Amino acid sequence: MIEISQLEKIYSTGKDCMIAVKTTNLTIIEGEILGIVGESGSGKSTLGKMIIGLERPSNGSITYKGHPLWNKKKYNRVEAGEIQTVFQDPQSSLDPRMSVKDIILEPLLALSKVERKEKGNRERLLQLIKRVGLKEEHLDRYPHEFSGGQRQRIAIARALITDPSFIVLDEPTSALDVSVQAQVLNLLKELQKERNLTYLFISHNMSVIRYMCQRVAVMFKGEIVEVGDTKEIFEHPEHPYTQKLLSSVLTIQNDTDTQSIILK
Amino acid sequence: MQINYSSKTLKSNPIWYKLKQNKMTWVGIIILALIVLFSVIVPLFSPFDPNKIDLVNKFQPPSSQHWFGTDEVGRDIFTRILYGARLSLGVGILIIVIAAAIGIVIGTISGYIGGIVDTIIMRFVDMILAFPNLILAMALAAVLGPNLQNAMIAIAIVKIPVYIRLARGEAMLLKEKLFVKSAETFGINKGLIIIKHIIPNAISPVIIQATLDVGDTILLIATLGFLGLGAQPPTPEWGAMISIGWTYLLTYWWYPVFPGLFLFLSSGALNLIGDGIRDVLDPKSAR
Repeated sequence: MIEISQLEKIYSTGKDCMIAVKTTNLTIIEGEILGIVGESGSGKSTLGKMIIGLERPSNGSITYKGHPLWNKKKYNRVEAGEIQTVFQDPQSSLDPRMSVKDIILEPLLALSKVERKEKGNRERLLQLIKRVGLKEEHLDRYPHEFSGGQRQRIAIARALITDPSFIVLDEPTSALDVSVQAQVLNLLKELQKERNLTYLFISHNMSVIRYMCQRVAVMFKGEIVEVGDTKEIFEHPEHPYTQKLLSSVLTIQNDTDTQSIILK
Repeated sequence: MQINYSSKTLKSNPIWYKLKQNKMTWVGIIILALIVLFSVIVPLFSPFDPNKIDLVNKFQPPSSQHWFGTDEVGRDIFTRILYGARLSLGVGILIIVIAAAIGIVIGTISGYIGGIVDTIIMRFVDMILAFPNLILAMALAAVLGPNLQNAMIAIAIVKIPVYIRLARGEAMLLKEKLFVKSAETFGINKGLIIIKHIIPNAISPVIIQATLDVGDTILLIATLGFLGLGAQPPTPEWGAMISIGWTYLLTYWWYPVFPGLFLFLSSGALNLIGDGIRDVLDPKSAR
């Protein structure tokens, strides 16, 4: 579905230059959840931003269903609403001055009038917000009245309103606490199956990646050092960096010695 | 015990609470409200026409009939001041609303689009800001021709750059916000992003600046009127009244003093209100 070849991103200020993404090749297959994992500064977010058009690649190409996404300096949108994004921080990705309804319907503004009417009708909107776990009365409220998890649900609804086929999830749950994380991850997973979506799932959290993704690309210092099936990579990591990442995963063990606290 | 925090009280309370705390703001609001009220109802209680010449009664000192006395052609000064309040406040607010509206549009475009557009706009802004407010307003009003309308245009031109600067700074901050970036990823055009995201989020500092500026604008109108570049006689404009009246200061003190007092009161009141609104809308600038 997405073909990334020889992609590079170099930030340069005067004589200094910083290579954020080094010659990368990657294929995203339709219907899969591809994870990108790596520490902060490994270039995984930059890669995502180049796909959605927020960062311009220095070299190389990205094609979406055969169409190049970048034409020299200009971002070529294949079709408005085809590719959507859910960002890390729902606190800042929702405009504080807009009501939830306006926020969710906003991506439709990029579509033609006919499509906007068709996709923006109230019934469809209600169905969508119920699907992501919000209520009808939430529509007239403002983002600051919601918790982090709810805000991320709003952001997910916003990404889905245009019926995209590909969604970039840029650390969608890193800003949430653990119990809410699980709910949002489950929602994303269910939606993927229901709507036959393709995800690019960017995260630094190995356990989240393992739970969500069929395939994983491991990034280290701007380079993809390993790509493969999640299971394969988790069981037989080849690159030393992957091994290091895996060994640093925090695991929650059920320790029988410690007394469990029962809340009454 | 049950405490009912409905979302409505939570939303409206802090602003009212802060406004209630601020006594000086209330002094301003009351003074301004009185001036506005009296200027609206003046035809109901004043038997005098603000422009009718009555030479028999010229230079009457303040009395129960003529509260602030009469001027050199026998017009009641109190009545003229209140009719002048309509003009000064109305024109002052109108100028600022226009200047702020134009400024916020140009400023947000400049700040959000950036690049060559921004450079060109900012050089023009620098050119205007290089001159002192009053000098430029005087020069423009003189070039355009001395009447109230031209004085308004001149003052608006002088005031716009401040709003452009302010809105541009806000737009440059907002441009980096994630909600603007995400709107960009939807493929919405830039004009729509400015209207939907940049202007609504950049507006509160502009409103603060605008309320603080109304008082200053009234002074500017009066100054131009005083210099003969604004409203022309017999229009009951405060600056024009003071301009004629000050020659009689030693003999008929009431003639320039009362319009001056109202000028002082209304611009002072507007500044107090502006301060109060700033405190409410902008928690960062604690005194």
